[in-house]
Amino acid sequence: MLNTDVSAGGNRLFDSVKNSNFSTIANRFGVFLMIGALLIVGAFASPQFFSTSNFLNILSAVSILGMVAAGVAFVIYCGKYGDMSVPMVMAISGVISVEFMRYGLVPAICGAVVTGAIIGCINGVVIGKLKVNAIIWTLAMNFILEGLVRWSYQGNQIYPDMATEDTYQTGFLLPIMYKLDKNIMNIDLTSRAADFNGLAQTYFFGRIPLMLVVMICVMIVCFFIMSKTSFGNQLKVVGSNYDVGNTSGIRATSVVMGAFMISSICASLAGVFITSINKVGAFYVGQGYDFQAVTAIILGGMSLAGGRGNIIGVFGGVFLMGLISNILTLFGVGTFTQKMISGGIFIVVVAVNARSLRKLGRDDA
Amino acid sequence: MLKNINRSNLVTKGNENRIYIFLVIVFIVLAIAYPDFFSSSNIKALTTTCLLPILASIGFTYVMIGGNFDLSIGAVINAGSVICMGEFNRFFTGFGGDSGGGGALFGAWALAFVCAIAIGVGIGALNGFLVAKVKVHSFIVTIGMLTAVSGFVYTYSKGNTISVNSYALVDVIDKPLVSAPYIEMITPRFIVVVAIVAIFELVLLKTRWGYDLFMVGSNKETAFQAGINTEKKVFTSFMLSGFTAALSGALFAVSMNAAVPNYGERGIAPLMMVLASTIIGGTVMTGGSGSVVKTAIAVLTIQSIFNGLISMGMGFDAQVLSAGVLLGAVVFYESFSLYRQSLRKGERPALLREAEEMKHRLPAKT
Repeated sequence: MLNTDVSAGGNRLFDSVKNSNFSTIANRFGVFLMIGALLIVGAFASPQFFSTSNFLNILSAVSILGMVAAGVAFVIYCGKYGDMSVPMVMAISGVISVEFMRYGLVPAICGAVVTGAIIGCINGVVIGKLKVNAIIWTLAMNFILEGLVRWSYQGNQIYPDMATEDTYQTGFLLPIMYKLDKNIMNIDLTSRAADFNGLAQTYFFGRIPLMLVVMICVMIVCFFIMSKTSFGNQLKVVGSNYDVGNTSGIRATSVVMGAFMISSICASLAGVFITSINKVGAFYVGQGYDFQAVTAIILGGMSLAGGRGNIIGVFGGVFLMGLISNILTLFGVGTFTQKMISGGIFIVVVAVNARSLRKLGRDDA
Repeated sequence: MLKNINRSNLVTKGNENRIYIFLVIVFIVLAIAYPDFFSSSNIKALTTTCLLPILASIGFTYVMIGGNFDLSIGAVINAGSVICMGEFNRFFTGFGGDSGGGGALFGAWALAFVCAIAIGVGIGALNGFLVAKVKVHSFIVTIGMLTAVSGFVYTYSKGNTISVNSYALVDVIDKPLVSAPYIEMITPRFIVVVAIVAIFELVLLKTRWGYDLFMVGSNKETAFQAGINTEKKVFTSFMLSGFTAALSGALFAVSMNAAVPNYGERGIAPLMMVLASTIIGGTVMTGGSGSVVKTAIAVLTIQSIFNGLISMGMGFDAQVLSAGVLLGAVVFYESFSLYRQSLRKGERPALLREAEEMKHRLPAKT
């Protein structure tokens, strides 16, 4: 955005020269400095802190968040502030994957991802083409999806290993599936459900969870898309200045649409795993992930103004979130207080980020 | 072309007052479908459920007119209710409990309300400071505040429901002034809400402060050049939003005699209700236009739809879906008309009209 702040005095210009070094460093490497500081704090918290199992715990605790954050990072990178429909995309893909699980694991995951892609496409068309305020539209989308999931299941939860005659009357796609193929009742649910629930309990080498591997893969793919492809470059231009992008021959609408589709696809992948962890598909499984993802991304040095930051920083931010929660737990702080502290950290970081950007002469407001 | 312009004026007029049209349509449909809809008891139930969202949406409308958003109100409502109940219990015991008599009761309630409102105004002031002075985007600030405040509410209440044993205040504020049919919904709580709506609407329409707020919302730069202290306006609007949200939470908790830390989490979130009714009520998403009364009417309309759905035997789920679809449709419609407007930008109707006339005068091409 252009510098529209008329009240900013001329002296800022000279201040910016003085502070630019520190602000640049704080902006670019802030998250790794914080990780370093927290590692030192953690060493005092508990002797078990520096053990492989503890670090694996930290990473697997944030692997769902990592998948979500990698996707939402694209939305923030193209200057749209955030994707509030993430919680319900997670929920609805979880529900869809539970319904499709009776045909096997691959259809379940494919169904979830396709659902995510469709929702992302709708979001992208409305936000990219009609230029609606992204937060308002995605919030509205979130409410619509919440209504859909709750209404189709009458407020009930859906268990992978339990299905009665009633289940096939009220479900989301189940009634259609039942109408097309009556044999669906005879599918052996127990083994399929065990496969599905086993997704979250699969370990490589006996200790590295599958979720963590998937998260790292998602991060690597997202890193390449964002930093190494022409789509990533176009995203950067559109995020820095929408009009410049549009007039220089970039199809800004489709770029924004792509960003929202990636965000929803990543969220739906996370939704499959979180449903597998909980062993239940319900409308509330993804609650709070929208905010946590934005926090991790901002902590990772990505600017809310768009066009600045990278996925490595986002990974740092995600790891930092896990580290904070781990250390607070080691100190015996409760979950509720942790929520309060993470909200506080978020506000402070955002305020500092905005101030330092303003000092560098790039307005964030 | 001329005809087109006339029609678009009518459409604009209709769109400005769409909420009244919408309310009448909903009332007519419900009156035909459910003869009991206009019974005295149903009207009383309907009005009572409207009070919380109406009060909370007043401040939200103010913030939106100023060109910002306050997504933290859901958490502030919970904070207001939980703190009002918790502090009442503490002060009442401090004043000697039941042995303290009426004075202890009055003092405890007064102090509890002061605490709840102070928390709300404090949160609003913090939001306002971060938005107006530090210049962070209002969504981001208030989403962060939402999390921090709901964490605080859980910590304060330890995740439990806080209830009080005294029924003195609820007997006063929910007692009908005249217990006759069709006016029995007029309770002191109702009067408080209506009075606050009236005051805030008058301030918006009749005072210098209100004009300035509209100007800040429609064009911040122009407002600044015209000598308006834009930062102070934004700051005050956030403070008022915190005030109304906390007060609505406190009044709701008193009427329920209990406060929960997660009101609306499994039902209909107050944020959704308030956001939907403010946008449906005609407040422009980018700021600069809107009305508190229209927002209140929108709350009434949505609650009437909910009421009708309940009569059809549908639960919370259908209500969430209907409110979501309504909100989505209105947001889509608003942005679509803005998009159409942006396509027509620079078009000159007079010239087009002239060209149209010229075309008729010229001989047709063969």
